[in-house]
Amino acid sequence: PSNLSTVRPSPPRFGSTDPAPPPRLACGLPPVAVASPASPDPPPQRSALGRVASMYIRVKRHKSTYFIQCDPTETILNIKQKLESIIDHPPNNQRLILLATNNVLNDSKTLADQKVENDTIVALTLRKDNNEFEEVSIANPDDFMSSS
Amino acid sequence: MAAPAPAQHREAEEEAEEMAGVVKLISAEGFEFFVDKKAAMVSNTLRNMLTSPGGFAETREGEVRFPEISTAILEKICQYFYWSLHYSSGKETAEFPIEPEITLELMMAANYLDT
Repeated sequence: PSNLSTVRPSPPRFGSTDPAPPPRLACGLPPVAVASPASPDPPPQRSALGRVASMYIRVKRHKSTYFIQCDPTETILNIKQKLESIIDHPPNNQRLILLATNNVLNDSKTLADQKVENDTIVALTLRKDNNEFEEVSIANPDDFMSSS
Repeated sequence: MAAPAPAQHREAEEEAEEMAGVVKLISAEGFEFFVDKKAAMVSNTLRNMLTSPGGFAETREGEVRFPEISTAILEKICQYFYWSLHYSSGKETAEFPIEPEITLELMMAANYLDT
């Protein structure tokens, strides 16, 4: 391990070389009033480009983890739509469960409403052929250690 | 092994096009991590793989295997990608927590990924 000496002791700084940090909310969106009764329009799905979403969540099922960028004001339905583009299952057939509390997340509520914060782990289950949802199942890496 | 350096001054639009989408990173134990391409490109190694013309076979498919990197480490690296995206503007900052017991393995993977 002599090459360890070349390993940088701490993560490099990224700030200095960034040519132009994207201005936040450059488009001048008014701040979303969280308490609005019928949330008018969910934030458009442009977080992949343009500006950096404020957080991400980790959606897990079996041996897969999906890192989903999002904002606290987005609804669970928004998240399911983002997932649909990756896993090809419509929101209807997805169920998201907050792993820490085992609560099934409600489509129409926002992430903030349901205490889903940055880096939170959310379990994904899918609808089975018999129309019921499968049990939460997240694989543990330790069960897959090579036994050699 | 060294991929050709990506063109530094690419049109912004073209760059945006290339940043879109999701890539799948696969750990030694076969666990799959789906991350935004933009996040994966925090790693210079991955950036080269994902942008070099002609490309690596596996990156055209949108997936990269890391037989040397364990699941726990690869997940930590993905978290770091997003942490870096968020805080690279330098306006605000936060700690990136690293558990002492994984430090060595994480540093070796970070070195390999040039991130």
